[in-house]
Amino acid sequence: MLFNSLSFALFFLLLTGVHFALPHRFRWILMLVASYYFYICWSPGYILLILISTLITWYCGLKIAGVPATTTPAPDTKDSKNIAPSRRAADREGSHNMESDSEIKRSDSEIKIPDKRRVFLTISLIANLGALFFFKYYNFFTASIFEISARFNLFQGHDAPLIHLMMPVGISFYTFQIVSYTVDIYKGRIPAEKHLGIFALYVVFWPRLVAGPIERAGRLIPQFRQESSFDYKTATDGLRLVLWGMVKKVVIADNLAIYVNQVFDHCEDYTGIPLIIASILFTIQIYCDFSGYSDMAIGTARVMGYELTENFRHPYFALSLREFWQRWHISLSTWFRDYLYIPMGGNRVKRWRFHYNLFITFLVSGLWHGANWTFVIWGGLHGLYLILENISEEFFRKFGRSLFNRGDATSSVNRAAGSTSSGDTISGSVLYKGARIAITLFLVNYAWIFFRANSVSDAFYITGNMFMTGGENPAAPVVEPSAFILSVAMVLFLVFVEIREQRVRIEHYVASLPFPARWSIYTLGLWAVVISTVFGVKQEFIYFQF
Amino acid sequence: MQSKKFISRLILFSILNVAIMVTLLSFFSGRNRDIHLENWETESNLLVTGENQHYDLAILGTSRGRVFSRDSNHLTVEKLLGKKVINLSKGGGGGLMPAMVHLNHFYRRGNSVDQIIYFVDPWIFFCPINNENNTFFLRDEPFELSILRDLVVNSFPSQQIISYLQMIAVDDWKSISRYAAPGLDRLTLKAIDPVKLEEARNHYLGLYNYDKFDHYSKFVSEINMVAKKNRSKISYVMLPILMRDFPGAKEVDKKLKEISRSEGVGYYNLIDKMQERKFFYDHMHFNNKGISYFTQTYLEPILQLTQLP
Repeated sequence: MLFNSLSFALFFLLLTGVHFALPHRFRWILMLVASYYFYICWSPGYILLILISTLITWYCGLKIAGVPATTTPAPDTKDSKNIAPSRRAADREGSHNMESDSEIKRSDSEIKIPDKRRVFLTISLIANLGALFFFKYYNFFTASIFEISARFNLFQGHDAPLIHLMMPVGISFYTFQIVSYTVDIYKGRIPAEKHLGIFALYVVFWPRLVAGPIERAGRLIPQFRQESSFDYKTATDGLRLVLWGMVKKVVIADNLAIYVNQVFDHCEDYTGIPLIIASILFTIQIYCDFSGYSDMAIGTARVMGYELTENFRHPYFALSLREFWQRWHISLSTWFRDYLYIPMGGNRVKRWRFHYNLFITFLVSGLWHGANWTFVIWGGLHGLYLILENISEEFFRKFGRSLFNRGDATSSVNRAAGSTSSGDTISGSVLYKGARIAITLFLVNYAWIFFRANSVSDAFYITGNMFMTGGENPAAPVVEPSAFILSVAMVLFLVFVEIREQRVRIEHYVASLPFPARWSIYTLGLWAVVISTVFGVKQEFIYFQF
Repeated sequence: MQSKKFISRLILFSILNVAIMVTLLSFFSGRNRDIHLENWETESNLLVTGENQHYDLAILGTSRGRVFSRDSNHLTVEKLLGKKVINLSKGGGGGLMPAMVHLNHFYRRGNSVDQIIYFVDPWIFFCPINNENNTFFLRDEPFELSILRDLVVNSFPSQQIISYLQMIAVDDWKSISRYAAPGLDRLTLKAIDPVKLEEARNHYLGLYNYDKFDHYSKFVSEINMVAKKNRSKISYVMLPILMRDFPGAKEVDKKLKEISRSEGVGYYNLIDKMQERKFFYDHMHFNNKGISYFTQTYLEPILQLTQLP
C-alpha cells in the first residue's frame, strides 16, 4: 500500500476517523491492528518474522531491565545521570555531530553490567541482527566468498548455496529501531516497556514501518500513552506536509527518474554531458524520493497526533560533509553515531583510531543501504571524505593560526576573545559559503553515482567517462526535449522552494496565505500529483529496497 | 468543534476537486468520435463503432475472434454471409469482462444489431489476465467517460483504470491503432509440436484461477441481459482448437449448456471440429483459409438457426 495510492487514502481517512472517535485507552489497539494490516499489504509472508522479533526483544528487554545494574561509584556520577537529558537536548537542537557526545561514551565505560543482562542483550541482538543478516546479506557474503575463493581455485565446480527469498519490507528500519531499544535499556537510558501491545506498536507503527524515520523508544513510546484530541492546526499542518511529500516524490522524483534510469541502465551508450546530467538529476531524485517519503510519514503521523523525528534538513545546502550528515537521513546517521561510532570510541581516541572509527561507521552505513559493493564503495567514499575534511580543517586551523601570529596586537586580542575578524569576514561571505556548498554538493553528487549504478563496473564507467566528449551521437537527446525541459523546470522549482525554506518551511508559508491562495495551492498540488500518477512512469520508493 | 470544521472543509475540498475532475473528464470524453476506421484497418473497437448504425452481426471474442477481421478477412466474412458485420473482439486476450464493456458502449452509442456471436475460449472463464487484469482491451481505444464509469462500476483494478485514462494523452489515433502484424493469418501451421502444445497448456494452467469461474460466468448472464434488452439474439460458439482436451473446456461446456437452457440463448461446442493444420497459423488461430471454411460450414448455418423470427 503506497502512500500515493487510492487504497492508502481510504485506509488513512478511515483510520484517522476511527482513531479520534475511539476513547484513548483503545487507540493503541486500533493502531496496532492497522499497522499489522499495513505490513501485511506489503509483505504478508513475513508478519510472523516481525511478531517473533517483537516477542524476543520485548522479553529480553524486560529481562535486561529486571536485573539491577550495579554501577561503580564513579567520581562524576552527576554526568551519568545527565546522559539522557543531554542527548535529548542535543537531538532537539539538531546537534548530531559524530565528534561530540563524549559524555555518553564516558558514562558507558563507567557502568558495570552483570553477566545476565549481557546474555539477554546478546540474545536480542543475535536474533534481530541475525534475521537482518540472513535475509539481506547472506547471499551477498556467500556469493562474494565464492567469488574470491574461485580466484584461489577453491570450491571449484560448486555453486554458491544461495537462498531465493524476498527481503522482508522495512527489515533494516525496524531492526535498527529494535536494536536501539535493547541497547538503550541495557545502558539504562530508558526503562523497559512492560506492555507488550505498546511495545509491538513501537516496532510496527505504520507511518514509519517500511522506510523510517528510525524512531527511538524514548521518543515514540510516551506518545502512545499521551492522551491527545483532534487538533485542527496539527492535522492541517500534517496534511500539507503529506501533499508536499507527494509532490516531491510523484511529481519531481518520478519525473527525473525517466532520464536517470535511461542513462544509468544503459550507461555504456553515453559519454560526457548525459552522464553528468543523469548524476545531477539522481542527486535531486533521491532527495525528493526519500525526503518526500519521510514528509508523508511524518505528515500522516502528525494528523493523528504523533510527532516523528525530522529526517532531512535541506542537506544540499550543507557547508561541509560533516554538516551534510547532520542534515541527511538524520534518524539513521544519529543511530550510527550513538550505536556504532561512539561505542567504538568516537573522536575521543588517538587520531588514527578516530579516522578508523569514522571510516568503519560509513562503510557499515553503506552496507546497511544494500548488499552490494556499490553501496559499500559509496559508504567508504563518504568515510574518506570526512577523514580528508577533518585533516584539511586541522591544516587550515593551524595555517590560520600561524598567519595571525604574524599579525598585530589587535588580532591577538581578537584571537584571545575567540574571534578572528578577518576570518569571520571571509567565512561569512556569500561567495565563500557558496563555494563550500558547491564543493560539498559536488562530492556528494560524485558518491551518489556509486549508490545508483547497477554495478561497480558501471559506476567506474560513468565516473571515467562523464568528463569525456565524443561517443556516437553525443547530441542525441536522452528523453524527449519536452520531458527534459519539464525535468529542468522541476529542479528549478525545487531549488526555489528549498531556498525559501531556509526562512520558513513550505507548509508554514502556505498556512500563512489567505484562504483562496491556500486552496488554489492545495488544488494545484493535488492535480499535479494526480496527473503525474496517471500519465507518469510509476517508480518504487528508492529506500523501500533497504 | 475542531473536527467538525476539519470534516466540513475536507468535504468541501473533495466536492471542489470531484467537480474539477468531472469537468476535465467530460472535456476529454469522445473527442475522437470524428475519426472513423474500418474493422480490417484497426484493432480498435471505438474508432469503428459509429453512432445510430444497424448491423446484422456483431462478433465478440478474444484474438481468435479478432482474426475474423484482420487484414481482409472482415470483407470475406461479410461477403460470404451477405451481412453487415461489426467485430467487437479484442486481441490480447480480452475476455468476458472486456466484452461486456465494449458491448455496452456499442449500444450506448445508439447502435443496434440483430445477432451476436460470442466466440468463447475456455481460459476466459478462469483467467484474471483475460478479464479485470487485461491490459490490452483498452489500449487502442479513445477516452469515453461512459467506459470509465463501466470500469469503476465493475471494480476493474486501478491500474487498468489508470491505463485507460492515459488514452487521453494519445493524439495520433489514426496510426497508433493499426493492426501490428498484417499477413500473419495467411500463414499455415507447418507442424504441431507436442512440446510447444504442452508448453501452451501449462502456460494457461499457470494463469488459471478456478475460484473465479463462477464470478466470470455471471458475466455471460449479464451480457445476455444487455443483448436481450437491446433486442439482439446472442449465441455462444466454442471455436475449434488443436488441443481438444484444453484445460477447463469441459467445465465451460457444462456451464454454457446450462445457461443456454435457462436463458434461452444459443450455444455450439465446436472445439473438436476442423482438426487440420491447414486451417490454422498456430495451434489456436485460424488462417484465412480456416476463416472462410468456418464461416461457410459453421457460422452461416448457426446464424440461420438462431436468426430472429
